[in-house]
Amino acid sequence: MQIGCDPKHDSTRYLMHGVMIPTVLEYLRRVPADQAQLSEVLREGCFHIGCIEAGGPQPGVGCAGRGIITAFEFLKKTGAKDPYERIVYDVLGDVVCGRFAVPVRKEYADAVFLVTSGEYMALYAANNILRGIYNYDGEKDRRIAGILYNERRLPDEDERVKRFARAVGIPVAARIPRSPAFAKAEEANRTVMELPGWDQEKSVFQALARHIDDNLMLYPVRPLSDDALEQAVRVTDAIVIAHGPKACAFYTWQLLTSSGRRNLFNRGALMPSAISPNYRSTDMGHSEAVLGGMGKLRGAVNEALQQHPGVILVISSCVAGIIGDDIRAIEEMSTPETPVIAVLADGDINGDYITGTEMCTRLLVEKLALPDIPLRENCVNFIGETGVSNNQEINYQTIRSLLSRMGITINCRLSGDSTSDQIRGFFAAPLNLLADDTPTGRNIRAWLQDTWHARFATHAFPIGFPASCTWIREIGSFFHREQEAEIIIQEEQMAYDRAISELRSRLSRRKILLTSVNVNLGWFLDAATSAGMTFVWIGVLNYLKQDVVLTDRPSQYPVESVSSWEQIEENAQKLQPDLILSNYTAAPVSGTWLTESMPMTNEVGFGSAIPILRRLADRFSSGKEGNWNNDQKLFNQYYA
Amino acid sequence: MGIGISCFLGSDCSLEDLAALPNADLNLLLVPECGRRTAEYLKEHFGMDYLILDRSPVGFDAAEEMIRAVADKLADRQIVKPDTQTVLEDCGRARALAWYHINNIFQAYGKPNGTRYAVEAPASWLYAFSRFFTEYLGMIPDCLSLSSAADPEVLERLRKFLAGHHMEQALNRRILDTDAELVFSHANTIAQLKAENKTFYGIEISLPGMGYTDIIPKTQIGIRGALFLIEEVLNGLMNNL
Repeated sequence: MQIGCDPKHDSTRYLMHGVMIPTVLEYLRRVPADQAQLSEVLREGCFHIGCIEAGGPQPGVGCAGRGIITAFEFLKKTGAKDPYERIVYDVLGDVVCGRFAVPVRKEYADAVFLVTSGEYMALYAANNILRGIYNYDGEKDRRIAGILYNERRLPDEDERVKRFARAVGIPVAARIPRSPAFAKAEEANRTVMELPGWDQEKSVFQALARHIDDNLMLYPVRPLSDDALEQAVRVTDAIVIAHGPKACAFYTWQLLTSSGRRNLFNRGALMPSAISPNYRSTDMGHSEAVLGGMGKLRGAVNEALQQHPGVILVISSCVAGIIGDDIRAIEEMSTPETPVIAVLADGDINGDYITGTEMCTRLLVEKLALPDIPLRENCVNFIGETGVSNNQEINYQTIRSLLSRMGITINCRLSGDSTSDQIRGFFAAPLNLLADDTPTGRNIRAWLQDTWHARFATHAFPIGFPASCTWIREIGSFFHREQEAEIIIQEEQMAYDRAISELRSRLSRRKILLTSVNVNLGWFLDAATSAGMTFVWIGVLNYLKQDVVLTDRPSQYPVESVSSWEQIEENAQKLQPDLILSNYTAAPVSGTWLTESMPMTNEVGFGSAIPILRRLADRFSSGKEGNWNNDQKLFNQYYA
Repeated sequence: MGIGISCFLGSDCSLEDLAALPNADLNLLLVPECGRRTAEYLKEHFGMDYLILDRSPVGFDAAEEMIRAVADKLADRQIVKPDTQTVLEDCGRARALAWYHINNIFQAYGKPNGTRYAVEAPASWLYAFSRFFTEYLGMIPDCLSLSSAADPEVLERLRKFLAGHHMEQALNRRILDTDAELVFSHANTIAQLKAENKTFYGIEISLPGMGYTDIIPKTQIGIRGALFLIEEVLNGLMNNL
């Protein structure tokens, strides 16, 4: 039996296939108590579930809490619950007064599940419910059965809910994924369990039902204070301490925060770790440079430990290295809760930005990751995401979406946003995916393979349609999701063909002269050709005389290695293209053609070429170069 | 040019300025929708001549057109023969400076050419902004939205201009439907688009509504206005990269 305890009386709506049943309070308002019949308010819904709605007053008047008590008294008097094995009370989350909380009293509920998502106010409301139950149960009784986590797909949401669960000592009994299944069920006025398909979603509820039936464990109530709640869900996971002068730390801080400010002010995209990184400096001055800085460093680490972060990273600077501060000693300050890791990155000796990135990544794995952790099914790690690329987040979402369509989740983003817990669980993922095919990424991959025997997919995140097909088939095969992989490819093929067809009408017979550094652009060449464009000449800047990797099919395209811009000018004048396209644009060669640049860091996935082709189509439609370039002669006259 | 401003009607003018209106040699209409009837009244009752520009002075080309048009008009009436050389040289220097900065962005990213933009404004401003952004900066109009009833002559000029570039569809799109990378509009329209999580850079071209305190006067018309607009465009493009 399900009893809806919300004045909106919509709890049983989908059990009743869209029918809003009469509420107990409405009925009792019309019928004298001695004549009231249970059969007038009890309905049978799907799966023979008995449905009752307590009801309440009209919005804005009366007392809904009193209404619940009246309804419950009637149900008790009529023995409404007797024939049923399980009674589910659907209680609203905002327990604003004692009467709303009536259903969770001991005489009604033997076990209480808290439904929440990862949003702060949802967790606040869940904690409020615990406070309400604490007023009934105190510290001794155990009636809390678990947390039912409704995923909203917020950043770091899983971790927030886990932290809350840990803090209140209640496990997450079920994680309901964000899924179109629920909207489909709503449209059909059904429950998800009644719809065809959606096996993954159904399995969550089936597992929960088994969990309830199989000797359900119950836990005591331990609500958090407001401060503790704030700390639990927004805990600072890692604090980074730069042991060096403030100016050095400021340089790095600027690098970290500039993209955060830009994205927030102009794109409205909030990147908390880029706006307010947990990054501080020991502010070494002259005195520390002469007498040593370890005392100041210990003070900074002590201060950081007060905040109970997941990990503290101490990074040395040139000054610390020169004066001989051995920051490795600081690791003795580790606590069971907070490891302290020393990163010896003295820039004058140990290398540059890339070296530092690799060093930090290795140390995090060595010092935090649990090597013997059991493998988790159907999850992957991301390795080597390029932090300075504006496409990082877009590419992350693209790949995440593709993986989730095969039921694969992300265990840890080793060079992206991760918590210390996720790094601890790094080796739980059976497969690792290299994000960007850069020297840094390849070095980290090689180290993980050689030292830890980590398994990697063959290729990095794919760019372009053919590479994406190969990649997704490999991932699908690894996780025995071959069928899902093929479905994705079919769906993406349809979308890709539609896009190319639309572009063909705008790009057909356009001639391109392409100049490029020696990178693989086969995915773009093929897409442009499919859209009806022709490459009249392709010049690959190849000063080092390496093998040309621009395309796998050099015989299909007029590719030539060049070493100077003059060759490009000559060919442009001779071949008169409609467009000169380059990924290292030098001064535009003047002529009747348009000039356009190719991005150096491309979006990954099946449709990598589509945004570029759309932009070219727009350029051709407008035919505009912009008269601004005619003013170069004025610049030469007044300023050159 | 040696020409003074007797009264900037509707913008920081005093009662004394208003009283002295008929003393001016020429009335200049920057925005016909706002001044045509007043200009006709002054002509009828005070015999004052007026000049309607082909387009509001947004951008270097339009500013130069205005300079020449005013000089020619005054010379025709033999009131004065203004010297345009100095101010046109100033414009040339401003163009040179603009070229330097635009070229830096173009070299690295190929923009502003081909960037899609949207404008919400009265017809005169719509026409002026779209010509500047399209002809000078090589951008493409995604949406041109009229914010008030249009002067028919100006609207016709705008339609012809768009038709000449095969961009008429921009007039049919609602500003809240735009996917443009740069949006020039009122602060509230910008806020509404941000609330829909659209990715773009918003530039105010209406009375200030962002809550920003302007201490130094700024303009988006004339020579300095062209530089200011270019500054806003380039910074907006950088933020969308």
